[in-house]
Amino acid sequence: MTLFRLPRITRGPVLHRVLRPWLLFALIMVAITAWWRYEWLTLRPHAFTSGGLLGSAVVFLAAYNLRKRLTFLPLGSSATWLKVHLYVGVGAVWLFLLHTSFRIPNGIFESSLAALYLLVTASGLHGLYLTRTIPGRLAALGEEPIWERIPGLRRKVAERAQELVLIARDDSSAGVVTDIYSRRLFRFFEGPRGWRYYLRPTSTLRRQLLAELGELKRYLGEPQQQLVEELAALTARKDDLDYHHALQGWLKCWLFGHIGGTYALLLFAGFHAVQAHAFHGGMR
Amino acid sequence: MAEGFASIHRPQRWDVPFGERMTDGDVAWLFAQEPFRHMDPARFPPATPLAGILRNDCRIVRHQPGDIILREGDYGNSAFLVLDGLLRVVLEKMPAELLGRERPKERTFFQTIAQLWSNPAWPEVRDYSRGKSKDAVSTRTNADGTCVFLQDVPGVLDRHNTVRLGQGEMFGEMAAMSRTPRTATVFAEDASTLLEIRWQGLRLLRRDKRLQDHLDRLYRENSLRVHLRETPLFRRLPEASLTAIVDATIFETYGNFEWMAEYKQLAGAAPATKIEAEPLIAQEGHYANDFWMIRSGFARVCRRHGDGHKTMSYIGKGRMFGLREIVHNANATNGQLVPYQDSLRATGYVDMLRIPAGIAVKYILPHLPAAELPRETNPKNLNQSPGKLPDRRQPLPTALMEFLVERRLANGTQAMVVDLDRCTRCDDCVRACATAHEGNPRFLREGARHGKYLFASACMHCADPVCMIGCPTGAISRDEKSGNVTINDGTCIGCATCANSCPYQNIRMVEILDPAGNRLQDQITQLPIFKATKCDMCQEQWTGPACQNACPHDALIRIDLTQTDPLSAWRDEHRSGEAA
Repeated sequence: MTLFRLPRITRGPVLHRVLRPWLLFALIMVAITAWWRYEWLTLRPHAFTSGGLLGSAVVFLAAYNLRKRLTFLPLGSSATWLKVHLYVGVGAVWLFLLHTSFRIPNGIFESSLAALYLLVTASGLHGLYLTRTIPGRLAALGEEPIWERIPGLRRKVAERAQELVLIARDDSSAGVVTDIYSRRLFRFFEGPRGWRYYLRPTSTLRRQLLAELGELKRYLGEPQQQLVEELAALTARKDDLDYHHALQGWLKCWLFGHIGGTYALLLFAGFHAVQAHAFHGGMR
Repeated sequence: MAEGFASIHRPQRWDVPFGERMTDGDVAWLFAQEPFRHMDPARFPPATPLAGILRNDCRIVRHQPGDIILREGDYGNSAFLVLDGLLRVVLEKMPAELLGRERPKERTFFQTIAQLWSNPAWPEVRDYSRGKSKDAVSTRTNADGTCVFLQDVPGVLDRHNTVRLGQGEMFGEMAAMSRTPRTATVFAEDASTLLEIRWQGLRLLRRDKRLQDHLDRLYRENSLRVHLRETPLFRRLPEASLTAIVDATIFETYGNFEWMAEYKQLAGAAPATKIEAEPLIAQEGHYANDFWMIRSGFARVCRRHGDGHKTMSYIGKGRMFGLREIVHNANATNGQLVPYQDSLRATGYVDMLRIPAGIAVKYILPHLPAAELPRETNPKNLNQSPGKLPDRRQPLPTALMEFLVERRLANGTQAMVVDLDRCTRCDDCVRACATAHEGNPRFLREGARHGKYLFASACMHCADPVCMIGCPTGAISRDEKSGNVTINDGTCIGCATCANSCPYQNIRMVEILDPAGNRLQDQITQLPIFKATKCDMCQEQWTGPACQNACPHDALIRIDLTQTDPLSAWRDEHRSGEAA
C-alpha cells in the first residue's frame, strides 16, 4: 500500500515525473524554513509571515471543495488539484509547526484552534489512507453495486431467501432449513449489520453461516441440498453487499468530518487572524 | 413442463419484407425497367430469385421537391435507384444547420457560470414555450416515413455546386455495402420516385455480372485509389504500381451487416461457440495467398489453443493481416515457407480488401524500406521451428483482449474505463456529468467488468456506429471534427431506432418534461414524447468530458479501444504509479 503512489525506480521518465514535484516541494519548504529562521534570528515578527502562509495554505486547501463544484470551469483537472492538495496539506503541517514555534499552544482559543487544525489534518490523512486502501478491497469482490442501491439489493436477497425457505417448508426435512433460517439467517438477511461491523467489517459471520449451512447438507435430500446451496450463495451475496455498504460508507463519511472540520477551522483561523492583527501590540 | 411440441412456421429470410406495400404489379413493372430489364433471372439461385429480391429487399419511395434523401456523413444500409424524377447531388459541404445537425456550440462564459443556478429542477426538461427548439429543421411525414426537407431549394442550387441524377442512376451503394459514411448529400429537385434497395438485396443483386462490374468499377475509380494512397504502406509506391494493385484488389465482406442482433442473441453462449460463429477470413495454417486490409469493421486475430481459440490481438480499419508471412516467404532462401500464423475472423461486419500475395511481392515489397518490414521476418529473429514465425509481443493480457473482442468493446473510440483499484466510488464523475447536462447524468457507473476495470455504460462513440443506421431524420450523426456521435435534440423524433440498435444499451429513451415539470405529450395522439439521450463528450463545455476531468484519483479515462496501444499505455502508467 502506498499513499503517494511512488514509481518503480527502474523507470526513468516516471522517476522524473514523480520525484520532480517532491524535489520542488522540498526546496520550497527549505526556503520557507530559512526565511522563518532569518526572521527569528533578526527578531522580526515571524509569526505573521508563517501565519499568513499557513492561512493561505488552509484557504487553498479548502478551495478544492469549491473546485469540485465548478466542474465546468477550466480550472485544471480534479486529479491535479488533489495532488497539489496533498503537497500543500503536508507542507501546511510544517508551516503549522513553524507558526507555533514548535510549542504546544496554551490559551483556550489557541489550543482549540490547534486541535481543530490537527483534527482536520488527521482526518485528511485518514481519508488518504482509506482512499488508497479500500478501492482495491472492493474491486476484489465480484459485484460492484452502487451505494444508494444497496438497501434495495439487500431487500431482494432477503425476499429470495424467504421464498426458498417457503419452498423448503413443503418437504419432509423442512424443519432443518426453517430452523437455521429462523435462528440464524432471518436476522442476517433482514437488516443491515450492527455498528461494530460498520466500524470494522469482517467476514467472521459469513464464514460461520456458510459453515453451518454446509453442515446441514448431511441431513438433506438432493433437492433440499440445492436449496441450501442457493441459500449459501445468497448469504455470501448479502455479506458482499454489507461489505460494500460499510466500506463505501467509510469512503463517503470521512469527507463529512474533513470538510465540516475545515469550515470550522476557517472560522476559527479567521477570528485568530483578526485577533492577532488587532492586538499585536508590537512592531510588524 | 409439458413435453410435447408445438409447430410453427419456420422463420424465413423474407418473412418481413423491406417495403410492406410492394405488390406483384410493382415487381412486374420493375422488371421492365433498367437495369432489371437486362438481368438474367437464371443467374439467381432458386432460394433467392430476382423477383423475390425485388419484392422483399426493395421498396418504392416517393419524395417531394426538397426532400433530403441522404446526407453527407450519415450511415445507411440501403442504396437508391432513380425510377422517375430528378435529384441533385450536392458536391460541396452543406451547412450543418440545413441538414438538421448543427454542431453544439460551446457555451459562453456567462452560460457556463449560469449552470450553477439555471439547471432545471426537473429531469429531462425541454422548453417548447417559445416554439420549436432552435435546432429544429423542417420534417415531413408521408407513407414512406419521416424525412427532413430543404425549404429553399433554389437557394441551395444557387449557392452550391450540384450535379443531376436522373432516371436509371444508382447512388448510395458504396456507403451501404461498406458501412462507411455517405460522401454527399442528395435531395429531390422534382417529385421523384426511387427504388430503395437494402444492403442484403444489393449484395444478392451483385450476382448480375453487369451490375457487379458496374459497382466494382465505381469503387475502384472513386474510392480505392484514394484509400490506398492514404495508407502509409502504399505512400512510396509509384503510380504504375498503385494502378496495378488497384486493378488486382478484390473486395470482400464478411459477417452480418446488422451484427448487433446476432451479438445480443449469442450473449450467453460459450466463448468457443461465439468465436466459431465469427466468419473466417483467413485460416491459420493455410498458405499465405493473400495480403488483407480492413476497410471497415473489426477482425479478431486468433490462434488454435487446446480445443478453443486464443485471441492474439484485434485489428480495425486500415490495419493489415498476412504481411509478415508474405514478406518472410518472399525472402525465404532456404525454401522454408510459413503459412498464416493466425486466423482472422470477422467480429461484426467487416469490409476487406484482398491483395494477392504475388501482386504484393511484385509491387509493394520493392518499395518498402527495411525499417518498415515486420520485425519478425528478419532472419536474425527467426526461431528454429519450421513453419513458425516468432510470436509477437501481446499488447494486452490475452484475457483482457478476449473480453474486449467478445463484448465488442473494441468498437469504442471514447470508451469510459474505470480502474476500480483507484475509484473511491465518490460519484464526482456522475455529478459532473449531470451538472454539464442540465442535471441529467448521461451515463451509469456500472457496466461490463473485467478484473479491476469497469467499462461503464457510456456511449463509446463507436468506430462502427450501428446506432446511426436507420435514423429517419439524421438526428444522430458523427461530428466531423471530433469524431463524436451526437444526437440533435431538435430533430430527434423519439423513434428509438438508435437505442434499439446500440448493442451496448448506451442510448436511453427519456420522457421529456416542460420547465414546470409537466410531461410533454403529442397534441394529436396524447402519447408521451420521448427523446434519445446519451453521452456527448460534453461538446458544449469548455473542459471536455466532465467525467474524466472530475475524477480526483485518475481512475476514469475516456479511451480509444479500437487500438490496443492506448489501453496498454494507460495500464502501464497506472502500474508505474503504484508501489515500487
